[in-house]
Amino acid sequence: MITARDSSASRLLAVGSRLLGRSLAVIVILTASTPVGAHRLDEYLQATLVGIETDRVNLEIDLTPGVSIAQQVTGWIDADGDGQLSQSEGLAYANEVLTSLAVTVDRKLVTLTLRDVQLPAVDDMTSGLGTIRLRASAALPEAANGRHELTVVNRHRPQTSIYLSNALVPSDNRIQIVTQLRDRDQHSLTISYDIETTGALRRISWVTGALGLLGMTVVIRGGLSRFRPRWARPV
Amino acid sequence: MGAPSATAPWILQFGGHHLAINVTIVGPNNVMTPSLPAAQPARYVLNGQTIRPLGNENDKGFALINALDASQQKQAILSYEVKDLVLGPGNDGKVIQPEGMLASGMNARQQEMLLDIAHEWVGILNDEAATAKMAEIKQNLGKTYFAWSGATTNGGVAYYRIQGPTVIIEYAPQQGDVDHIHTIYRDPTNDYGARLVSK
Repeated sequence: MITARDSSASRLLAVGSRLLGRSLAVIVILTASTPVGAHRLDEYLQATLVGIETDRVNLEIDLTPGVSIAQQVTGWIDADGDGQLSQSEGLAYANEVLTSLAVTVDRKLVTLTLRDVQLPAVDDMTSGLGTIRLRASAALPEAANGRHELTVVNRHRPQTSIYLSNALVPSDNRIQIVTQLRDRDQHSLTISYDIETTGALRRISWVTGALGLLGMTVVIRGGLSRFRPRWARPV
Repeated sequence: MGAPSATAPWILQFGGHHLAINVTIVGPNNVMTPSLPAAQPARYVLNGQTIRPLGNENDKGFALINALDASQQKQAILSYEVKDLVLGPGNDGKVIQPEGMLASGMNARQQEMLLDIAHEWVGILNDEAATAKMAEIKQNLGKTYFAWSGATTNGGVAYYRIQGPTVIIEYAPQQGDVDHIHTIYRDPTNDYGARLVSK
């Protein structure tokens, strides 16, 4: 029996301490003796969230190696073999991951640019607790109104990997996700989305503005009438 | 986290090998999101009694998917495998595009079953807080989705997700093992009491 902490549970607790903005004073961790087999072992979890904007697409890629392949993954990153994961090694690995991805918009390939990479500590990695976090984006050609299709295909280390691929709800309400299609293993995700027509938005804005103006007029007139001086009120 | 206070925010955290509970407390209000109840083994015998730590969550999920008719199942069942939590640790406040079947397309009994599943997580809190949270989930039921991936016969490997404006619940067997389950309970508008603290 080998003792192992569950990465999911402990990470969730750690975030709470950061958000509250205070140091982690005391956390009761009840660590039971459990076989390492209790956790992800020989799989490399690659979870991708896709954020679509009118002029670019953002990818959030979290890579979590199981404990029995963590050493192998560390070896992929640790190019100089010194047992440490440097920032430059992290950048090189992140760019290698990106070259395994193909992103197309309306069937045209777009170029991904790495925005950020965060590596866990080597000890966390090798004990199956570490997640490599990549953030990348691609500029999109000026989006015409109407239906569009974005496809992300991940071919990084397929022999040992499992995949999760999902669209985030767009923060821009002019963009509406219509469908998400995946292959069974989620190697690929195709997102159909609509961008609202500018004309429709203009019409909505005009109507909203007109209604707002009307409402304000009613409120102001009503308000003024309440505060009209006694001498000015009709008798 | 922080100092227990009648007015200032603080977090009660309880964590173990397969458990992370975060209860953010602000005055009389408290929220338990995000929390990660999990289990391995998911079934064991203790003193001659079979214990299933996430048994209700499992059985009620299977009961609901089997209470849906064929056309409803077609909407609820995803065409791909989901082998882990989509919104596990590190995804606070994120909202994925919902999938599956809208609860507004369910009949009253099916909706009750859905709420009953959600209560398995929400009900970990004290009754007062749980009642308020369940009322909020019920109010948003028309915008709440139920998605399923995997076997529909109880005992098989199946993932499910309940997603509404203020609740996300995922039930995810790990590595195809029904004896190793991770779940997560989130409120994307109120993880770690973000909504409470900002008031």
